[in-house]
Amino acid sequence: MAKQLPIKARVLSLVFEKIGISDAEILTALKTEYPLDKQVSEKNLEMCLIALTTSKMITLMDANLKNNGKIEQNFKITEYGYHRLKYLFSIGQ
Amino acid sequence: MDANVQLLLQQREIAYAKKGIGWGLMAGVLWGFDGVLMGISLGMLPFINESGLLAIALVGACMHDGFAAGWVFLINIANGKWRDYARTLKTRPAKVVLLAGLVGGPIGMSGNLLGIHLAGAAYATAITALYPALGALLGVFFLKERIHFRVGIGILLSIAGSIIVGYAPPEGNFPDFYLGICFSLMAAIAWALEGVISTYGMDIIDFDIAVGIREISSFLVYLLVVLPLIGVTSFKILFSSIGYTSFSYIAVAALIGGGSYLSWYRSMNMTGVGRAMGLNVTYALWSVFFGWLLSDLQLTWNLFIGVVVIIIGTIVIIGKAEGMANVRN
Repeated sequence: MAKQLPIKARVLSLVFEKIGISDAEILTALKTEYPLDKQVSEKNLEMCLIALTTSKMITLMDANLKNNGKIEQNFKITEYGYHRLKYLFSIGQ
Repeated sequence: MDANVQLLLQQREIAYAKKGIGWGLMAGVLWGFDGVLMGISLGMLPFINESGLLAIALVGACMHDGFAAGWVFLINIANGKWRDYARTLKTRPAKVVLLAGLVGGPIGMSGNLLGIHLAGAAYATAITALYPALGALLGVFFLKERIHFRVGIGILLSIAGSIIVGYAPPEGNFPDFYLGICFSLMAAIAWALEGVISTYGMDIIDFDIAVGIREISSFLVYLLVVLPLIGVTSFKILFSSIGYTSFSYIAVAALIGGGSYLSWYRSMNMTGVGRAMGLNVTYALWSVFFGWLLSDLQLTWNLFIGVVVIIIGTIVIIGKAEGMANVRN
């Protein structure tokens, strides 16, 4: 069984795995991979994505206002974020 | 991207940065309160019967970080984050946070206490109060943070205010004065480094988990390295305190101190090292307030002037909402 990453690191790796991934897709993946984790929620994910954007690890590609009034955002990893992710995986996980 | 959506996203980012500022202010309030409570605790039995001020202070710091580690773990259980401890400790960034704990806790605090012991509180406090300026500079170089000129002025004002608050005419004879100054400088550099190192780690690690790991590493290094270096006396003081009221007081102080660290780390992650440290150093203001409220602290002119300067510095740091969200280049 693959070792689970800390949730914030997993969010970064999900953005790396798919360019233009949406926040909804990220939330779905996290809920599947971390079914027992109470911290996996829309609000916490929003904070996490803002934190990753602020620290220049990911960048917003596009954002659209949906019919339910929520914003759907699409992200891609930055070069800096990629290097930090490579560092994370280089311990032979 | 639609202009309305852009505006909504910008508002969300500014709200996030404002929350970070709020956490920075909270960190200062709680650390000021914590400091006063620790001062009261270490002035009670059994500490008051012991000789060796340095040993007492370091034992107190060890107990504080041990209790804080426990409280933060309980908080992380309540917020559903506790499973991330094990996941995080298996990663390389965890080593970064462990290093931050070692640097900020045992090295920084021990340096601070040694500086006070060897050079006197007046000079030691003035030098250690420089840590936000050092942290801001290190943040610019290592994290590519942006420090606006206005924020820099605010940081300097907050530092000046805390120096004025902490100033007392030097008294006593200090034969190892310059060694004490070196230790104080070591403490300032250590606390500045802790901020930068931990913020680097928090790029990938959740801030609440980072604090949990930081407190654990600090406590273990105190217990296994620092106290043995002092000698058997330190363990005698530690174990003799169990059962006294002061033991419970330190546990309560550690809850407040743990809250301060949680706030500080959140603030550094959300609004940048420089701004967060400039807000955190307002603890000098709050230590005056809580000292006046809970102990026999007499308000003097330098306390009042220092508090006013800190308030002005804080307002300057916070400034306008625009530009808050752009933390790094």
